[in-house]
Amino acid sequence: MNCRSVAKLVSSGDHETATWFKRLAIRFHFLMCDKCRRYAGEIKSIGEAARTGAVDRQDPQGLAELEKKLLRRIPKDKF
Amino acid sequence: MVTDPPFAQTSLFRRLKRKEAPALEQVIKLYLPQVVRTARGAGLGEEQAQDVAQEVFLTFLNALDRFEGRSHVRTWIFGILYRKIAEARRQNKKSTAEEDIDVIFESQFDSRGSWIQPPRAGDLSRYAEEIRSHMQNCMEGVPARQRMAFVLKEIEGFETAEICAVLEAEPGNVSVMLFRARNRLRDCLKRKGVQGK
Repeated sequence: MNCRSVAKLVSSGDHETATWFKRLAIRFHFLMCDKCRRYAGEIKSIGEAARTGAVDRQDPQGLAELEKKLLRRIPKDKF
Repeated sequence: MVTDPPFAQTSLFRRLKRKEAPALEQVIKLYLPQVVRTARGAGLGEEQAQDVAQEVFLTFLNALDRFEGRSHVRTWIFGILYRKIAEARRQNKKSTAEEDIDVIFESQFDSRGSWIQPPRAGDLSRYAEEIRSHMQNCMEGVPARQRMAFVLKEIEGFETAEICAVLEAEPGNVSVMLFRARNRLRDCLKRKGVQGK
């Protein structure tokens, strides 16, 4: 398995659903290849940064007000 | 982040069908934060995300009689959200950079598939820290559908099967969307000079 296919599997998320043999091959590749290890680390960090950013941006008070506003907009005959 | 297992809320579904107000409140409490967060992640401003979120739940209620419960309530809500975001973005007329990310990806490898432009060695925790301030800006460069797949996967923790249902896409397509979104983000961060050194 070469670096290109490992990088492709990692960034598509297909490594999660790959056969055990393929997953083993990826792990072996990681053992030998610091470049792909680094690439996988960057891809993981990007997901985590998106997640932390989205959670940090959330405003609990604004959400509580939005919830009230939404409930007021629901027609009484519907519920 | 996602606490309830997908495709498994049949009792909630029955209570909604019976028009039980607490069931509706439960759905709103459970999914409103996720819906707003996803709309923001997909590129809408706070106010527009809130408007879209309200429209999503009102549409959901109006269509409840037609909902047969074949998919999870959340999947259905996010399907509505996806269409509403697409409408809102069309109004915003946001254009995205369309340089081919597949070509950019391939250009990093030689004909044997080895790195010719390898990821820079360095401190990964520094990298993680440095990218935070650039993420939102780089997200703007990710085409809408890929961005939605990325947000559902990474921010909301959806399984691929549910992303397929929301976007009405095949699993292989979702893989390609995630591949392109992640590599586009990585390329954008690289261009901004983030090295983690």
